[in-house]
Amino acid sequence: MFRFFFQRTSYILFSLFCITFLCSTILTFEAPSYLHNFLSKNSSPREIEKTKKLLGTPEKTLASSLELTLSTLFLRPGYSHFQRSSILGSIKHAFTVTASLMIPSLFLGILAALFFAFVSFLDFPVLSPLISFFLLSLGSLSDVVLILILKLLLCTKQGFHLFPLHGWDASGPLSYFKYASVPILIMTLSLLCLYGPLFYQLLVSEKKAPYTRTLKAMGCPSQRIFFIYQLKTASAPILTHIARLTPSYIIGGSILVENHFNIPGLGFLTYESCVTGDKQTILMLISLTAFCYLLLQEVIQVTLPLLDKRTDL
Amino acid sequence: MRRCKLSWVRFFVVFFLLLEILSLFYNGESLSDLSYAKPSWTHFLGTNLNGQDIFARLLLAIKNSFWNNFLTSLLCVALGIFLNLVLFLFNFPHLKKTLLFLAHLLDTLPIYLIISCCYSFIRAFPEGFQFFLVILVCPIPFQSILRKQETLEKHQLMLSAKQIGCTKLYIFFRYLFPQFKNLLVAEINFLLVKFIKLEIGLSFIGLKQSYKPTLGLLFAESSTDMLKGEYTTLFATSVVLFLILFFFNTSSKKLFSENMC
Repeated sequence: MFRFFFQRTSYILFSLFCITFLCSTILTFEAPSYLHNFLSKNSSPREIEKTKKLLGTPEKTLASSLELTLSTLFLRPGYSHFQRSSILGSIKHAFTVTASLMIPSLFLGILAALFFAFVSFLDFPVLSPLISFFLLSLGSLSDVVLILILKLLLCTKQGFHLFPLHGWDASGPLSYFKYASVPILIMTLSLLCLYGPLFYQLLVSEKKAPYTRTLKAMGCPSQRIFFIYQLKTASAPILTHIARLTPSYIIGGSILVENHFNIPGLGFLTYESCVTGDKQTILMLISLTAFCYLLLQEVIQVTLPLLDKRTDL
Repeated sequence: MRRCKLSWVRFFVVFFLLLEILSLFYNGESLSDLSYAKPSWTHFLGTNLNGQDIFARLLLAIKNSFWNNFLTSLLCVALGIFLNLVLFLFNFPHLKKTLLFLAHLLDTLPIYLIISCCYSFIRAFPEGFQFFLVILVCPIPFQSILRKQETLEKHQLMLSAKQIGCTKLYIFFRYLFPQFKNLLVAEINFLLVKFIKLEIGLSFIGLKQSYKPTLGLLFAESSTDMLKGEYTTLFATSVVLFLILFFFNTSSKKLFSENMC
């Protein structure tokens, strides 16, 4: 057991180092200098040198990319001149905002997806085919369409005009409800689009499995087959898919939604740092996301055998 | 459609031809003096803020988005096949491990983050974006082809072909390749949907610049039109996008399930 944990930890650390080093090398060699943003017109060479020193503009060498990697991995990213605050501080602040949006939407989205997949799985005469068609249609909707249509319906004067067009204020529960409702609704629906068809397919594949036929032939009641056998077996791939898709969904979804609604979360920070060329912040966000992804994968790998004995350590 | 699994390929060809023919009639972005003109016989869906015909722009956008993303997904699958061929021919266990590790690394990060990491490169070379996507997404077809290849390698047919002294290159193209061509069509379908969605998302927030009208650009335009009470571009683009994605999602699901069977 100790050997297994040692192996997996070293694998996570090695993968994390590789990802961070790869990205820092790309950023060091390929990113242009944004020095001109901090200089006035007709600056003297002395001023340029001074600003360079202040910004700590690294040279385009492997050593500087290694230095950038290590400072990111040891959580010492320093100060961002673009954000005008410490990088860790701005990431912490952005993370709380994104978490306040993401946690409810993840919870609601996964629950809704499971509910719809479950109803369409149960073979109701009209409802189940309708829901399976609805799930397939949802999978064909882009996040952008959801954002625009829900914004049109709920935030504009042409629609119901219930919520503000953009902005963020989470000082109290009422203001949080006012500003976060539409983004949460969009993210929940987009999660339903992502997970709904997937969960449905996974449950349907269990219905066609040979063991289901055997259990039915043995006269086992359908509720027992579903709750004791099928749900347990299907939960392993469902968990794997959640662990695999959630980190990329959080970043991808938050970039779209937060930019459109001007919410100062992780997505907005990513966009800002990407447009301004803030290498350290981008690298910090990349390594944090990669770490979350790798950790989730490992947690799932450890917990899977508890759910399904076939996937043993 | 049910008789021949590759009839989807025929649909691709017909769809491309139809788009080409339609875009011949609605060539360019015909301008009108009126901005936000109502739908008429000259402008089927009316005009936008700059007096450009929305229908003509929509056709151009579908054509551009479709071609770009189709070629990218084709290249992605081709790269996946090439990597598998190299692994099959030379059978280096270390190379396989390294490729799988690299595929895992690329799989770990959200595409949005990697694109933001290379944003200045993409901004300097907008055409390089597609090339970049090929490298980023090639692990998906590579891994699925590898899985299929590994199961097929243990098949009696492969063992017999090896026994009678067929070369590895011959075995790959004569016996293995026909076995996973359905999987490849399904992968192209799947990647096409993924790329179209990605392109729309990136154009919408302004991370991908495009000089030609694309679906993403139309959505970005429609968000400003929407605030002025004009919804034609939004609804037309949403309906077209939904129909395209629905068709490709359904077909890829069907092809994947046939392949699994």
